Amino acid sequence: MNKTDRSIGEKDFAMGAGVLGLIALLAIILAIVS
Amino acid sequence: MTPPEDVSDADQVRRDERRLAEMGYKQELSRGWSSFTNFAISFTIISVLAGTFTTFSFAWLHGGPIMASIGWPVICFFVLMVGFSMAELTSKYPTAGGPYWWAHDLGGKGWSWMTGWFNIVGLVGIVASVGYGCAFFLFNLLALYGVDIFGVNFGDDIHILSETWLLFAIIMVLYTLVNIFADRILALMNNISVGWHLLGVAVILALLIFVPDDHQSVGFVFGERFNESGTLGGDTGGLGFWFLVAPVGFLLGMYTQTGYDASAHTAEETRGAAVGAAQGVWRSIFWSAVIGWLVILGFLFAANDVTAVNDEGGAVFGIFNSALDSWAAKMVVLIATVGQFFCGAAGLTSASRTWYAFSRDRAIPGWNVFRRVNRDRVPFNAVIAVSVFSLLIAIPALFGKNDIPFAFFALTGICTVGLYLAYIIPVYLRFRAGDSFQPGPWNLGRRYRLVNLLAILFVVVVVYALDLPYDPTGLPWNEEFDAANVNYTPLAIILPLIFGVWYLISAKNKYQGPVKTLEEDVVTAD
Repeated sequence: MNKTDRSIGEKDFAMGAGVLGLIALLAIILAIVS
Repeated sequence: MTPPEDVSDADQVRRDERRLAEMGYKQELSRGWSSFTNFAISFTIISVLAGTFTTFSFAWLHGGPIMASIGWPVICFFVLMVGFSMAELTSKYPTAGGPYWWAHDLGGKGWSWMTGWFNIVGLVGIVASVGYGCAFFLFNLLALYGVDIFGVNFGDDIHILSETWLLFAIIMVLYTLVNIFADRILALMNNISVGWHLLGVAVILALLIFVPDDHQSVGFVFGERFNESGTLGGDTGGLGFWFLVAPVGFLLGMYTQTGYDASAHTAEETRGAAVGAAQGVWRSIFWSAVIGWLVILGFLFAANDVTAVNDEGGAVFGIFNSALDSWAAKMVVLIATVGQFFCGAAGLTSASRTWYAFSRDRAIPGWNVFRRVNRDRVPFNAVIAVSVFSLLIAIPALFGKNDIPFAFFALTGICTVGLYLAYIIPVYLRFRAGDSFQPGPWNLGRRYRLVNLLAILFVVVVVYALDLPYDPTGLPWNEEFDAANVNYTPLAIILPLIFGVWYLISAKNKYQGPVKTLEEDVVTAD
Protein backbone atom coordinates (compact mmCIF):
# COMPACT_ATOMS: atom_id res chain seq x y z
CA MET A 1 0.00 0.00 0.00
CA ASN A 2 1.23 3.48 -0.88
CA LYS A 3 1.93 5.58 2.25
CA THR A 4 -0.44 8.27 1.01
CA ASP A 5 -3.27 5.70 0.94
CA ARG A 6 -3.04 5.11 4.66
CA SER A 7 -6.09 5.91 6.80
CA ILE A 8 -5.90 8.52 9.59
CA GLY A 9 -5.67 5.70 12.09
CA GLU A 10 -2.73 4.06 10.34
CA LYS A 11 -0.88 7.37 10.16
CA ASP A 12 -1.60 8.04 13.83
CA PHE A 13 -0.40 4.54 14.68
CA ALA A 14 2.85 4.99 12.78
CA MET A 15 3.54 8.31 14.49
CA GLY A 16 2.50 7.35 18.04
CA ALA A 17 4.04 3.89 18.18
CA GLY A 18 7.13 5.09 16.32
CA VAL A 19 7.90 7.96 18.69
CA LEU A 20 7.18 5.99 21.86
CA GLY A 21 9.14 3.06 20.51
CA LEU A 22 12.10 5.35 19.85
CA ILE A 23 11.93 6.78 23.37
CA ALA A 24 11.88 3.26 24.84
CA LEU A 25 14.83 2.33 22.61
CA LEU A 26 16.71 5.46 23.66
CA ALA A 27 16.20 4.59 27.32
CA ILE A 28 17.48 1.05 26.75
CA ILE A 29 20.54 2.32 24.82
CA LEU A 30 21.33 4.76 27.66
CA ALA A 31 21.11 1.86 30.10
CA ILE A 32 23.55 -0.17 28.03
CA VAL A 33 26.13 2.56 27.48
CA SER A 34 25.97 4.09 30.98
CA MET B 1 -11.42 5.64 3.81
CA THR B 2 -10.77 9.35 3.58
CA PRO B 3 -11.01 11.68 6.57
CA PRO B 4 -14.08 13.88 6.75
CA GLU B 5 -13.63 17.25 5.09
CA ASP B 6 -13.82 20.48 7.05
CA VAL B 7 -17.42 21.25 7.92
CA SER B 8 -19.11 23.80 10.15
CA ASP B 9 -19.83 22.93 13.77
CA ALA B 10 -23.57 22.84 13.09
CA ASP B 11 -23.12 20.44 10.16
CA GLN B 12 -20.76 18.33 12.22
CA VAL B 13 -23.26 18.12 15.07
CA ARG B 14 -25.97 17.05 12.60
CA ARG B 15 -23.68 14.32 11.25
CA ASP B 16 -22.89 13.19 14.80
CA GLU B 17 -26.58 13.09 15.70
CA ARG B 18 -27.29 11.11 12.55
CA ARG B 19 -24.58 8.58 13.44
CA LEU B 20 -25.97 8.36 16.98
CA ALA B 21 -29.45 7.82 15.54
CA GLU B 22 -28.07 4.99 13.38
CA MET B 23 -27.00 3.35 16.62
CA GLY B 24 -30.50 3.86 17.96
CA TYR B 25 -30.08 6.83 20.28
CA LYS B 26 -31.47 10.33 20.23
CA GLN B 27 -29.16 13.18 21.21
CA GLU B 28 -29.83 13.82 24.92
CA LEU B 29 -26.48 15.10 26.19
CA SER B 30 -25.16 18.51 25.15
CA ARG B 31 -22.76 18.11 22.20
CA GLY B 32 -20.65 21.14 22.93
CA TRP B 33 -17.17 19.65 23.30
CA SER B 34 -14.41 20.06 20.75
CA SER B 35 -11.94 17.30 19.90
CA PHE B 36 -9.40 19.08 22.09
CA THR B 37 -11.74 19.00 25.09
CA ASN B 38 -12.30 15.32 24.42
CA PHE B 39 -8.54 14.76 24.48
CA ALA B 40 -8.31 17.02 27.53
CA ILE B 41 -10.63 14.93 29.69
CA SER B 42 -8.64 11.73 29.13
CA PHE B 43 -5.33 13.53 29.51
CA THR B 44 -6.64 15.00 32.76
CA ILE B 45 -7.81 11.64 34.10
CA ILE B 46 -4.53 9.92 33.25
CA SER B 47 -2.88 12.95 34.88
CA VAL B 48 0.89 12.76 35.10
CA LEU B 49 0.54 15.01 38.14
CA ALA B 50 -1.40 12.23 39.88
CA GLY B 51 -0.21 8.74 38.94
CA THR B 52 3.51 9.41 38.59
CA PHE B 53 3.50 11.09 42.02
CA THR B 54 1.35 8.62 43.92
CA THR B 55 2.75 5.37 42.47
CA PHE B 56 6.41 6.27 42.00
CA SER B 57 7.27 4.18 45.06
CA PHE B 58 6.21 0.98 43.30
CA ALA B 59 9.03 1.40 40.77
CA TRP B 60 11.54 2.74 43.28
CA LEU B 61 11.16 -0.14 45.75
CA HIS B 62 10.65 -2.90 43.19
CA GLY B 63 13.64 -2.57 40.91
CA GLY B 64 14.92 0.95 41.46
CA PRO B 65 15.54 3.76 38.94
CA ILE B 66 15.56 1.58 35.81
CA MET B 67 12.02 0.44 36.54
CA ALA B 68 10.95 4.07 36.17
CA SER B 69 13.36 5.41 33.53
CA ILE B 70 13.15 2.42 31.19
CA GLY B 71 10.05 0.72 32.53
CA TRP B 72 7.85 3.78 31.98
CA PRO B 73 8.31 4.18 28.19
CA VAL B 74 8.22 0.42 27.63
CA ILE B 75 4.97 0.02 29.59
CA CYS B 76 3.49 3.11 27.93
CA PHE B 77 4.26 1.63 24.53
CA PHE B 78 2.08 -1.37 25.36
CA VAL B 79 -0.63 0.82 26.94
CA LEU B 80 -0.67 2.65 23.62
CA MET B 81 -1.49 -0.65 21.92
CA VAL B 82 -4.55 -0.93 24.19
CA GLY B 83 -5.38 2.68 23.36
CA PHE B 84 -5.06 2.19 19.61
CA SER B 85 -7.28 -0.89 19.82
CA MET B 86 -9.91 1.05 21.77
CA ALA B 87 -9.63 4.06 19.44
CA GLU B 88 -10.67 1.90 16.50
CA LEU B 89 -13.73 0.75 18.43
CA THR B 90 -14.55 4.30 19.57
CA SER B 91 -14.57 5.41 15.94
CA LYS B 92 -16.92 2.62 14.95
CA TYR B 93 -19.26 3.16 17.93
CA PRO B 94 -19.06 6.79 19.17
CA THR B 95 -21.52 6.41 22.06
CA ALA B 96 -21.33 7.12 25.79
CA GLY B 97 -21.51 3.44 26.71
CA GLY B 98 -18.06 2.75 25.31
CA PRO B 99 -16.66 -0.72 26.00
CA TYR B 100 -19.91 -2.45 27.00
CA TRP B 101 -21.63 -1.15 23.88
CA TRP B 102 -18.78 -2.40 21.71
CA ALA B 103 -18.90 -5.76 23.48
CA HIS B 104 -22.61 -6.07 22.75
CA ASP B 105 -22.24 -5.48 19.06
CA LEU B 106 -19.24 -7.78 18.77
CA GLY B 107 -20.13 -10.52 21.24
CA GLY B 108 -23.73 -10.26 22.47
CA LYS B 109 -25.47 -9.23 25.65
CA GLY B 110 -23.58 -11.55 28.01
CA TRP B 111 -20.23 -10.03 27.09
CA SER B 112 -21.82 -6.60 27.23
CA TRP B 113 -23.22 -7.15 30.72
CA MET B 114 -19.87 -8.29 32.14
CA THR B 115 -17.92 -5.54 30.37
CA GLY B 116 -20.30 -2.84 31.56
CA TRP B 117 -20.07 -3.85 35.19
CA PHE B 118 -16.27 -4.23 35.04
CA ASN B 119 -16.13 -0.74 33.57
CA ILE B 120 -18.42 0.74 36.25
CA VAL B 121 -16.45 -0.92 39.05
CA GLY B 122 -13.16 0.26 37.55
CA LEU B 123 -14.27 3.84 37.05
CA VAL B 124 -15.77 4.14 40.54
CA GLY B 125 -12.45 2.80 41.82
CA ILE B 126 -10.58 5.45 39.82
CA VAL B 127 -12.73 8.26 41.22
CA ALA B 128 -12.21 6.97 44.76
CA SER B 129 -8.47 6.43 44.41
CA VAL B 130 -7.77 9.73 42.65
CA GLY B 131 -9.95 11.61 45.12
CA TYR B 132 -8.15 9.92 48.00
CA GLY B 133 -4.77 10.60 46.40
CA CYS B 134 -5.72 14.26 46.06
CA ALA B 135 -6.77 14.30 49.73
CA PHE B 136 -3.48 12.65 50.72
CA PHE B 137 -1.47 15.29 48.86
CA LEU B 138 -3.64 18.08 50.26
CA PHE B 139 -3.09 16.65 53.74
CA ASN B 140 0.68 16.70 53.19
CA LEU B 141 0.50 20.25 51.87
CA LEU B 142 -1.49 21.41 54.91
CA ALA B 143 0.96 19.53 57.13
CA LEU B 144 3.89 21.34 55.49
CA TYR B 145 2.19 24.63 56.35
CA GLY B 146 1.23 23.36 59.84
CA VAL B 147 -2.42 24.29 59.29
CA ASP B 148 -4.56 24.02 62.45
CA ILE B 149 -8.19 24.91 61.68
CA PHE B 150 -11.61 24.14 63.26
CA GLY B 151 -9.91 21.91 65.83
CA VAL B 152 -8.17 19.82 63.15
CA ASN B 153 -4.40 20.03 63.36
CA PHE B 154 -2.86 18.78 60.11
CA GLY B 155 0.62 19.48 61.42
CA ASP B 156 0.66 16.80 64.14
CA ASP B 157 1.16 13.04 63.79
CA ILE B 158 -2.20 11.83 65.06
CA HIS B 159 -5.54 11.10 63.33
CA ILE B 160 -3.80 11.09 59.96
CA LEU B 161 -6.18 8.62 58.30
CA SER B 162 -9.36 10.26 59.62
CA GLU B 163 -8.13 13.76 58.68
CA THR B 164 -7.21 12.55 55.20
CA TRP B 165 -10.65 10.96 54.87
CA LEU B 166 -12.30 14.22 55.95
CA LEU B 167 -10.45 16.03 53.16
CA PHE B 168 -11.43 13.25 50.76
CA ALA B 169 -15.13 13.68 51.62
CA ILE B 170 -14.90 17.45 51.08
CA ILE B 171 -13.16 16.91 47.75
CA MET B 172 -15.84 14.43 46.66
CA VAL B 173 -18.56 16.98 47.47
CA LEU B 174 -16.71 19.58 45.39
CA TYR B 175 -16.33 17.13 42.48
CA THR B 176 -20.07 16.44 42.63
CA LEU B 177 -21.10 20.09 42.74
CA VAL B 178 -18.82 20.99 39.84
CA ASN B 179 -20.13 18.07 37.78
CA ILE B 180 -23.79 18.85 38.40
CA PHE B 181 -23.94 22.63 38.42
CA ALA B 182 -21.05 23.69 36.24
CA ASP B 183 -21.12 21.59 33.11
CA ARG B 184 -19.75 24.42 30.97
CA ILE B 185 -17.11 25.23 33.55
CA LEU B 186 -16.21 21.54 33.57
CA ALA B 187 -15.34 21.62 29.86
CA LEU B 188 -13.33 24.77 30.49
CA MET B 189 -11.72 23.13 33.53
CA ASN B 190 -10.54 20.21 31.44
CA ASN B 191 -9.00 22.56 28.89
CA ILE B 192 -7.36 24.59 31.66
CA SER B 193 -6.20 21.32 33.19
CA VAL B 194 -4.12 20.56 30.09
CA GLY B 195 -2.41 23.94 30.48
CA TRP B 196 -1.98 23.36 34.20
CA HIS B 197 -0.37 19.98 33.58
CA LEU B 198 2.01 21.37 30.94
CA LEU B 199 2.93 24.48 32.89
CA GLY B 200 3.00 22.58 36.17
CA VAL B 201 5.35 19.96 34.79
CA ALA B 202 7.61 22.70 33.38
CA VAL B 203 7.75 24.43 36.77
CA ILE B 204 8.36 21.15 38.62
CA LEU B 205 11.15 20.20 36.21
CA ALA B 206 12.73 23.64 36.60
CA LEU B 207 12.61 23.26 40.40
CA LEU B 208 14.06 19.74 40.26
CA ILE B 209 16.83 20.93 37.92
CA PHE B 210 17.87 24.23 39.52
CA VAL B 211 17.12 23.92 43.26
CA PRO B 212 19.05 20.76 44.29
CA ASP B 213 22.78 21.20 45.00
CA ASP B 214 23.69 18.17 42.95
CA HIS B 215 22.09 15.49 40.79
CA GLN B 216 22.38 11.81 40.12
CA SER B 217 24.35 10.62 37.08
CA VAL B 218 22.94 9.21 33.84
CA GLY B 219 24.42 5.89 34.97
CA PHE B 220 22.32 5.94 38.15
CA VAL B 221 19.08 6.95 36.41
CA PHE B 222 19.34 4.48 33.54
CA GLY B 223 21.50 1.76 35.02
CA GLU B 224 20.92 1.46 38.77
CA ARG B 225 18.86 -1.47 39.90
CA PHE B 226 17.91 -2.27 43.47
CA ASN B 227 15.37 -4.28 45.37
CA GLU B 228 13.94 -2.63 48.47
CA SER B 229 10.77 -4.69 48.37
CA GLY B 230 11.93 -6.87 51.25
CA THR B 231 11.80 -10.02 49.13
CA LEU B 232 14.55 -12.30 47.77
CA GLY B 233 17.05 -10.80 50.21
CA GLY B 234 17.39 -7.70 48.03
CA ASP B 235 18.41 -9.76 44.99
CA THR B 236 18.31 -7.84 41.69
CA GLY B 237 18.79 -10.65 39.21
CA GLY B 238 17.47 -14.03 38.26
CA LEU B 239 13.99 -15.28 37.53
CA GLY B 240 12.70 -14.38 40.99
CA PHE B 241 13.50 -10.73 40.47
CA TRP B 242 12.08 -10.49 36.96
CA PHE B 243 8.91 -12.46 37.65
CA LEU B 244 8.05 -11.48 41.25
CA VAL B 245 9.62 -8.08 41.92
CA ALA B 246 9.98 -6.20 38.62
CA PRO B 247 6.32 -6.60 37.55
CA VAL B 248 5.26 -4.73 40.70
CA GLY B 249 7.66 -1.95 39.68
CA PHE B 250 5.87 -1.73 36.33
CA LEU B 251 2.68 -0.78 38.16
CA LEU B 252 3.91 2.83 38.03
CA GLY B 253 2.97 2.94 34.36
CA MET B 254 0.08 0.49 34.61
CA TYR B 255 -1.75 2.42 37.34
CA THR B 256 -1.03 5.87 35.92
CA GLN B 257 -2.10 5.13 32.36
CA THR B 258 -5.78 4.41 33.03
CA GLY B 259 -9.00 6.31 32.42
CA TYR B 260 -8.51 7.10 28.73
CA ASP B 261 -11.83 5.42 28.00
CA ALA B 262 -13.23 8.83 29.04
CA SER B 263 -12.80 9.96 25.43
CA ALA B 264 -15.19 7.19 24.41
CA HIS B 265 -17.66 7.88 27.23
CA THR B 266 -17.88 11.54 26.25
CA ALA B 267 -18.28 10.80 22.54
CA GLU B 268 -21.93 11.89 22.63
CA GLU B 269 -20.78 15.30 23.88
CA THR B 270 -17.99 15.65 21.29
CA ARG B 271 -18.31 17.21 17.85
CA GLY B 272 -16.85 15.00 15.12
CA ALA B 273 -16.69 12.11 17.59
CA ALA B 274 -16.00 9.33 15.08
CA VAL B 275 -12.51 10.76 14.59
CA GLY B 276 -12.11 13.25 17.46
CA ALA B 277 -12.99 10.85 20.27
CA ALA B 278 -10.90 8.06 18.73
CA GLN B 279 -7.88 10.37 18.57
CA GLY B 280 -8.62 11.56 22.11
CA VAL B 281 -8.05 8.00 23.36
CA TRP B 282 -4.59 7.43 21.89
CA ARG B 283 -3.30 11.01 22.03
CA SER B 284 -4.00 11.29 25.75
CA ILE B 285 -1.91 8.14 26.35
CA PHE B 286 0.84 9.32 24.03
CA TRP B 287 1.28 12.81 25.49
CA SER B 288 0.98 11.50 29.04
CA ALA B 289 3.71 9.01 28.20
CA VAL B 290 6.09 11.66 26.86
CA ILE B 291 5.42 14.27 29.55
CA GLY B 292 5.28 11.66 32.31
CA TRP B 293 8.71 10.39 31.29
CA LEU B 294 10.16 13.87 31.73
CA VAL B 295 8.58 14.12 35.20
CA ILE B 296 9.98 10.74 36.20
CA LEU B 297 13.46 11.62 34.92
CA GLY B 298 13.20 14.82 36.95
CA PHE B 299 12.45 12.77 40.09
CA LEU B 300 15.30 10.34 39.44
CA PHE B 301 18.00 12.90 38.67
CA ALA B 302 16.99 14.87 41.79
CA ALA B 303 17.01 11.76 44.03
CA ASN B 304 20.53 12.39 45.27
CA ASP B 305 19.82 11.04 48.76
CA VAL B 306 18.80 7.43 48.18
CA THR B 307 18.58 6.67 51.90
CA ALA B 308 16.14 9.54 52.47
CA VAL B 309 13.89 8.25 49.68
CA ASN B 310 14.07 4.70 51.03
CA ASP B 311 13.18 5.98 54.50
CA GLU B 312 10.00 7.46 53.00
CA GLY B 313 9.12 4.07 51.51
CA GLY B 314 10.15 5.23 48.04
CA ALA B 315 7.57 8.03 48.04
CA VAL B 316 8.28 11.21 46.08
CA PHE B 317 8.11 13.22 49.31
CA GLY B 318 11.48 11.66 50.15
CA ILE B 319 12.93 13.27 47.00
CA PHE B 320 11.28 16.65 47.53
CA ASN B 321 12.21 16.89 51.21
CA SER B 322 15.83 15.84 50.68
CA ALA B 323 16.61 17.62 47.41
CA LEU B 324 14.49 20.75 47.50
CA ASP B 325 14.25 23.76 49.78
CA SER B 326 11.05 23.91 51.81
CA TRP B 327 9.40 26.55 49.56
CA ALA B 328 10.15 24.52 46.44
CA ALA B 329 8.84 21.29 47.97
CA LYS B 330 5.61 23.07 48.92
CA MET B 331 5.25 24.44 45.41
CA VAL B 332 5.68 21.00 43.84
CA VAL B 333 3.11 19.42 46.16
CA LEU B 334 0.70 22.32 45.52
CA ILE B 335 0.97 21.92 41.73
CA ALA B 336 0.43 18.15 42.01
CA THR B 337 -2.55 18.56 44.36
CA VAL B 338 -4.35 20.96 41.99
CA GLY B 339 -3.61 18.62 39.07
CA GLN B 340 -5.10 15.74 41.05
CA PHE B 341 -8.22 17.80 41.76
CA PHE B 342 -8.72 18.31 38.02
CA CYS B 343 -8.10 14.60 37.51
CA GLY B 344 -10.75 13.46 39.99
CA ALA B 345 -13.41 15.88 38.71
CA ALA B 346 -12.87 14.61 35.16
CA GLY B 347 -12.90 11.02 36.42
CA LEU B 348 -16.32 11.61 37.93
CA THR B 349 -17.57 13.00 34.59
CA SER B 350 -16.38 9.90 32.76
CA ALA B 351 -17.72 7.46 35.35
CA SER B 352 -21.10 9.19 35.53
CA ARG B 353 -21.50 9.04 31.73
CA THR B 354 -20.87 5.30 31.85
CA TRP B 355 -23.36 4.94 34.71
CA TYR B 356 -25.86 7.02 32.73
CA ALA B 357 -25.41 4.99 29.55
CA PHE B 358 -25.62 1.65 31.37
CA SER B 359 -28.80 2.90 33.08
CA ARG B 360 -30.21 4.06 29.77
CA ASP B 361 -29.77 0.45 28.69
CA ARG B 362 -31.53 -0.73 31.88
CA ALA B 363 -28.62 -2.68 33.30
CA ILE B 364 -28.43 -0.88 36.64
CA PRO B 365 -31.13 -1.34 39.29
CA GLY B 366 -33.01 1.96 39.51
CA TRP B 367 -32.07 2.73 35.89
CA ASN B 368 -35.07 4.99 35.42
CA VAL B 369 -33.70 7.38 38.04
CA PHE B 370 -30.10 7.31 36.86
CA ARG B 371 -30.84 7.96 33.19
CA ARG B 372 -32.45 11.34 33.91
CA VAL B 373 -30.69 14.50 32.81
CA ASN B 374 -31.27 18.00 34.21
CA ARG B 375 -31.94 21.26 32.34
CA ASP B 376 -28.24 21.50 31.44
CA ARG B 377 -28.42 17.92 30.11
CA VAL B 378 -26.23 16.60 32.91
CA PRO B 379 -27.05 13.08 34.21
CA PHE B 380 -27.11 14.40 37.77
CA ASN B 381 -28.41 11.26 39.49
CA ALA B 382 -25.64 9.23 37.87
CA VAL B 383 -23.10 11.78 39.12
CA ILE B 384 -24.46 11.49 42.67
CA ALA B 385 -24.51 7.68 42.47
CA VAL B 386 -20.84 7.46 41.46
CA SER B 387 -19.88 9.92 44.20
CA VAL B 388 -21.76 7.99 46.87
CA PHE B 389 -20.24 4.66 45.82
CA SER B 390 -16.78 6.22 45.68
CA LEU B 391 -17.25 7.40 49.26
CA LEU B 392 -18.53 3.98 50.32
CA ILE B 393 -15.64 1.98 48.87
CA ALA B 394 -13.20 4.41 50.48
CA ILE B 395 -14.52 3.71 53.99
CA PRO B 396 -11.75 1.10 54.55
CA ALA B 397 -9.29 3.98 54.15
CA LEU B 398 -10.30 5.06 57.65
CA PHE B 399 -8.44 2.03 58.95
CA GLY B 400 -4.87 0.93 58.42
CA LYS B 401 -1.57 0.03 59.93
CA ASN B 402 1.15 2.65 60.47
CA ASP B 403 -1.25 5.11 58.81
CA ILE B 404 -1.23 3.09 55.57
CA PRO B 405 -4.76 2.06 54.44
CA PHE B 406 -3.91 -1.35 52.97
CA ALA B 407 -7.53 -2.50 52.66
CA PHE B 408 -8.35 0.55 50.56
CA PHE B 409 -5.34 -0.12 48.34
CA ALA B 410 -6.63 -3.66 47.85
CA LEU B 411 -10.01 -2.32 46.79
CA THR B 412 -8.47 0.02 44.24
CA GLY B 413 -6.36 -2.91 42.97
CA ILE B 414 -9.54 -4.94 42.45
CA CYS B 415 -11.18 -2.00 40.66
CA THR B 416 -8.13 -1.62 38.39
CA VAL B 417 -8.37 -5.28 37.38
CA GLY B 418 -12.02 -4.64 36.55
CA LEU B 419 -11.11 -1.61 34.46
CA TYR B 420 -8.46 -3.44 32.43
CA LEU B 421 -10.86 -6.34 31.82
CA ALA B 422 -13.46 -3.86 30.55
CA TYR B 423 -10.85 -2.43 28.19
CA ILE B 424 -9.67 -5.72 26.81
CA ILE B 425 -12.86 -7.77 26.41
CA PRO B 426 -14.08 -5.72 23.41
CA VAL B 427 -10.56 -5.74 21.97
CA TYR B 428 -10.55 -9.53 22.15
CA LEU B 429 -13.99 -9.63 20.51
CA ARG B 430 -12.83 -7.29 17.75
CA PHE B 431 -9.76 -9.51 17.21
CA ARG B 432 -12.05 -12.52 17.04
CA ALA B 433 -14.30 -10.79 14.49
CA GLY B 434 -11.30 -10.45 12.16
CA ASP B 435 -11.88 -8.95 8.75
CA SER B 436 -15.67 -9.17 9.13
CA PHE B 437 -15.45 -6.09 11.38
CA GLN B 438 -16.52 -2.95 9.49
CA PRO B 439 -14.33 -0.17 10.91
CA GLY B 440 -15.18 3.51 11.36
CA PRO B 441 -13.29 6.41 9.77
CA TRP B 442 -10.41 6.03 12.28
CA ASN B 443 -9.03 2.52 11.88
CA LEU B 444 -5.83 0.51 12.03
CA GLY B 445 -6.18 -1.16 8.65
CA ARG B 446 -4.54 -4.58 8.62
CA ARG B 447 -2.37 -3.72 11.60
CA TYR B 448 -5.28 -4.43 13.96
CA ARG B 449 -4.13 -8.05 14.42
CA LEU B 450 -0.70 -7.15 15.81
CA VAL B 451 -2.01 -4.22 17.85
CA ASN B 452 -4.91 -6.20 19.37
CA LEU B 453 -2.64 -9.14 20.16
CA LEU B 454 -0.03 -6.97 21.91
CA ALA B 455 -2.83 -5.26 23.87
CA ILE B 456 -4.29 -8.57 25.04
CA LEU B 457 -0.89 -9.95 26.08
CA PHE B 458 -0.14 -6.73 27.94
CA VAL B 459 -3.37 -6.88 29.96
CA VAL B 460 -2.54 -10.45 30.98
CA VAL B 461 0.75 -9.12 32.37
CA VAL B 462 -1.05 -6.22 34.09
CA VAL B 463 -3.51 -8.51 35.87
CA TYR B 464 -0.59 -10.75 36.93
CA ALA B 465 1.41 -7.77 38.23
CA LEU B 466 -1.55 -6.37 40.16
CA ASP B 467 -1.93 -9.68 41.99
CA LEU B 468 1.66 -10.01 43.20
CA PRO B 469 2.44 -9.39 46.90
CA TYR B 470 3.76 -5.90 47.70
CA ASP B 471 5.32 -6.88 50.99
CA PRO B 472 6.83 -10.22 52.11
CA THR B 473 4.95 -10.03 55.42
CA GLY B 474 1.76 -10.29 53.38
CA LEU B 475 2.64 -13.90 52.49
CA PRO B 476 1.01 -16.50 54.79
CA TRP B 477 4.19 -18.62 55.03
CA ASN B 478 6.27 -15.67 56.23
CA GLU B 479 7.21 -15.84 59.94
CA GLU B 480 6.21 -12.20 60.35
CA PHE B 481 2.94 -12.62 58.49
CA ASP B 482 0.51 -9.74 58.95
CA ALA B 483 -2.97 -9.96 57.42
CA ALA B 484 -3.00 -6.16 57.05
CA ASN B 485 -0.14 -6.37 54.52
CA VAL B 486 -1.73 -8.97 52.23
CA ASN B 487 -2.44 -7.87 48.66
CA TYR B 488 -6.10 -8.81 48.37
CA THR B 489 -6.32 -7.95 44.67
CA PRO B 490 -6.67 -11.67 43.69
CA LEU B 491 -10.12 -11.32 45.24
CA ALA B 492 -10.94 -9.58 41.97
CA ILE B 493 -11.97 -13.06 40.90
CA ILE B 494 -15.20 -12.38 42.82
CA LEU B 495 -16.14 -9.72 40.27
CA PRO B 496 -16.84 -12.10 37.37
CA LEU B 497 -18.44 -14.50 39.86
CA ILE B 498 -20.84 -11.86 41.21
CA PHE B 499 -21.77 -10.40 37.85
CA GLY B 500 -21.81 -13.80 36.15
CA VAL B 501 -24.15 -15.38 38.73
CA TRP B 502 -26.34 -12.26 38.72
CA TYR B 503 -26.58 -12.50 34.94
CA LEU B 504 -27.40 -16.20 34.91
CA ILE B 505 -29.97 -16.03 37.70
CA SER B 506 -31.83 -12.88 36.79
CA ALA B 507 -30.32 -10.37 34.39
CA LYS B 508 -30.10 -12.81 31.49
CA ASN B 509 -33.82 -12.42 30.89
CA LYS B 510 -34.03 -8.71 31.73
CA TYR B 511 -30.93 -7.20 30.17
CA GLN B 512 -31.27 -7.02 26.42
CA GLY B 513 -28.17 -4.96 25.69
CA PRO B 514 -28.36 -1.39 24.42
CA VAL B 515 -31.92 -0.08 24.41
CA LYS B 516 -32.59 2.10 21.38
CA THR B 517 -34.10 5.31 22.69
CA LEU B 518 -35.36 6.27 19.25
CA GLU B 519 -37.34 3.02 19.01
CA GLU B 520 -38.48 3.59 22.58
CA ASP B 521 -39.90 6.97 21.54
CA VAL B 522 -41.71 5.39 18.62
CA VAL B 523 -43.17 2.75 20.93
CA THR B 524 -44.19 5.43 23.42
CA ALA B 525 -45.77 7.49 20.62
CA ASP B 526 -47.72 4.47 19.43
